[in-house]
Amino acid sequence: MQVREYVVRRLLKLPFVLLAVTVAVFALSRVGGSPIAIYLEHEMSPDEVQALEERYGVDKPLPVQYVAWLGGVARGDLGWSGVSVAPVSEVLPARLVATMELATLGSFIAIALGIGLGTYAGARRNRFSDHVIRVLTVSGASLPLFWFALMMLILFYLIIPIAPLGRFDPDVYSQITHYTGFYTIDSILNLNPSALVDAIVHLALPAFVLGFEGMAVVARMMRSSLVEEMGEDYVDSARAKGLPERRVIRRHARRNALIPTITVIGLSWGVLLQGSVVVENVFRWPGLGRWATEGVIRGDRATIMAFVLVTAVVFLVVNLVVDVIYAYLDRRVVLGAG
Amino acid sequence: MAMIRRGRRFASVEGEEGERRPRVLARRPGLAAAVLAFALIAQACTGAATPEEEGGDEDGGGTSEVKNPGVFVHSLGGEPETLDPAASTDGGFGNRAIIQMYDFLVDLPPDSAVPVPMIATEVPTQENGLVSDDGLTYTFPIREGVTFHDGTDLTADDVKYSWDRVVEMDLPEGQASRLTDIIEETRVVDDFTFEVTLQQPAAYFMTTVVYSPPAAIVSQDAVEANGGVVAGEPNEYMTTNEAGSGPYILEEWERGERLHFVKYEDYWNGAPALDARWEVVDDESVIVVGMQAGDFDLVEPTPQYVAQLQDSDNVCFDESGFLLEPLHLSYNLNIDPDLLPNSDTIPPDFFYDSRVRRAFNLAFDYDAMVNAGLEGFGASGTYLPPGVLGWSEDAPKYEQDLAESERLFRESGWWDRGFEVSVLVEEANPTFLPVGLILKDNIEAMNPNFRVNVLQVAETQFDEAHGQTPFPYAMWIKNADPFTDPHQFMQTYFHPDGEWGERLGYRNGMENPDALADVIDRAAASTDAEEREALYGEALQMIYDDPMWLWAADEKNVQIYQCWVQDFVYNPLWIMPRWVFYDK
Repeated sequence: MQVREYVVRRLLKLPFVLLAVTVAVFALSRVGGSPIAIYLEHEMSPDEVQALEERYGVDKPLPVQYVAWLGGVARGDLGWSGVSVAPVSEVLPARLVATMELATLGSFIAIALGIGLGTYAGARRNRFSDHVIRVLTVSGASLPLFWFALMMLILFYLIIPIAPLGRFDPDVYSQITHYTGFYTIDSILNLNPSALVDAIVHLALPAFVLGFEGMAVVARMMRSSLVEEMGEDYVDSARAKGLPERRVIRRHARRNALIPTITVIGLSWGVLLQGSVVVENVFRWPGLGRWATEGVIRGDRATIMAFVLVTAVVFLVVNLVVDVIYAYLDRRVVLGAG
Repeated sequence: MAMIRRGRRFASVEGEEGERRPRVLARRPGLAAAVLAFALIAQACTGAATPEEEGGDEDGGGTSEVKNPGVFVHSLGGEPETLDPAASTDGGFGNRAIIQMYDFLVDLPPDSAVPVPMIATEVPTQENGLVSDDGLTYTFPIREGVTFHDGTDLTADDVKYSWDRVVEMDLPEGQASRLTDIIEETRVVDDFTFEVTLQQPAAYFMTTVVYSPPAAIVSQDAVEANGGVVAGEPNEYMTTNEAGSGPYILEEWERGERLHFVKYEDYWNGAPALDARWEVVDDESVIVVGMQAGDFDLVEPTPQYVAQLQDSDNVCFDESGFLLEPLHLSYNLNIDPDLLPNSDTIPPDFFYDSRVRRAFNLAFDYDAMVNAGLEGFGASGTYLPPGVLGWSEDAPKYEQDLAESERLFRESGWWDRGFEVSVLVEEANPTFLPVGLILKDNIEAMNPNFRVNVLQVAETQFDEAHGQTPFPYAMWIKNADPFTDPHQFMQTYFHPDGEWGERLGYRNGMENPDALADVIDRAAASTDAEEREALYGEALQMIYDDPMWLWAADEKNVQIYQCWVQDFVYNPLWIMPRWVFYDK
């Protein structure tokens, strides 16, 4: 099978997977409590509850509700977000962009630091620098994210006040035109240095915290794959040819060690999306994670369903991209699929 | 009632967190260096927050540089679910915004429960002739020269329109019943005279209805230009915009983040000193660090977090008032045995016997609730909260008396039979959960045959259970709605034919329901404050003798503000602090 054929087959499967996702999202949203829980109050009478159920259409049979919801999704109408007091379709894009901006920088930090530190540690196995990096990566993988985030917040917001809360200074933010919704990109497009500084200052700490956890996973995988590759015969051959050690690592061992690491990078997207829920809450980042948290706490089904649907789609697409890259790097994937 | 507690989290006290860290280290020695570093940071933070002498003086006047000059920054644990007075719920965040942007006919001053003029130029009384001799007709002279934020003039037509609109829309989530329960008719006498006829005389009309969010005065022109009035349907424009004449104008609402308010320069009573910003922060850890960093001017954390701010620099406290929301536990006398949890062994008539209810009340450790459950920020529960007419320090209230409790359990026959019963509580709620756990400890310690299961469910499931009749549990725990008049507490919670009286089946077991109903009804109809106070005193004794609730504690209303805030005043009868009074 050719790589192109493999990609087409994966793309053809995607709509069915998405449909299954919508069924799962809808079904799960009807488990455990009223679908209009956010609108219920302690003191409401059964008649008032009934009136609300009729208003939001949850008194109809489940298949009818599902079809109505799916039709709305197809038209871009994801319902009314009770927590945001606005249509989901109005709130979602801004929230998604905020999370994407955070996750993009977070993943960049995770990948750059993870591959760099993992390579460095793997090439210096059991030396002092390897131990230091191991402590760092084990910390990243083991420390509860909410605790680490809070500690960073206390350190850089309270004690050394260099990292402000939130995503922007409202006064600076209102000075620029928002073409894309990405604050960093928009500030560059506006040629506004103070907005760019504001964007970076707000983004740096939460992105670092988010990336720190991903970095740990990537670095550990990179180190162990590199250590494994360094024991292979082809590495000995390269050394025997007289290649310098740095070139042996860069040109030979690291390239092969990257293959399993790419899978981990793909999966770490899921970790980043998970982590964004915690990080956004601690740093008051106005992204999807914080929005979803509020939706879960208050039982806002429209918000929860939109969040799950969007993250599922993002996750599926990212995984598809990773699998395609993987297929290019390792032909056995394509052959196995056949 | 958990509405104003959305987003609050249950958290360990500082000491408990401190004890957990060494166990992590023991399991993962490799983490030692990193964790030690972070622990030192945390310790440094605590140290940094405990300066010896700087600021924090009760009189204000902290020496730090004022942050956010010109803007009063109030951090709250949620955002409005609506800005429409016709749709706002009791205790919801919407009410808190409405009182900043809208005017009412009367107001409550910072230091009193007696209404003062606002849009009405006089508060109607029989003495000034604005209340008819039969106590049914109230005449409000309307202030001239008041303008709405849209520039239109406020007249009696707007007042009538505002009140009638709430009644016509009659939204299930709203508070139309506040008006419909008591008002017979509204009339416009002339442009600046508004008249109301009541169904029956009611002294509580002024504080319960006239000063209440659904009675906020909206601009008729603005509403009619934006969707008008449709029965049973929320007005989308009014949900997210305002049409008031109050001291603040909503400038921008960043969903989930903050609301910006600017002062209304043409406010009839003079523009406020500061603009205002409502910061939505649902993580109380962030509220604490934000307050320590000076980014917020005012916060209202739960008791568990108040302690973390007590020694902070330049932070002042106002803990003089109480929340008007006593924490309580219900006894269900209207049980459907098929709906009870399977583990419950009690019969449907378990709580019919007054001795059983009193035995539960006498078993509960009220001191533990105040000292541990509320971290000391509270007082043992009284059937009317402090600050409300009829409350008295001398009113009878339960104290723990295990010997008497045992006697009553023996007398009622349950001591030897034993029982297992469940109590419903909102999951991890920092103030509700301790009520259940303390009761469980106290009851189970008395007799090995007694068992109390504390069932924690998510707030959404808790609310859903509350919408069911018959209520599917034998007991539940929450707090009362923040009422301002004793009649609301009495009618809602204690009257045998009131909302909860009917749902929980008081008449199935109350020894003399008609007598209690008579006292509550007479107090409601009386226009004489002294007579009302005496009648409520009588009612409190009856409720004590034949309790339908375990009234666990009154929680203090702790307002924490930067000492640079000048003129901080707060009346617990307001729904929340009103920015119009503050400067910095």
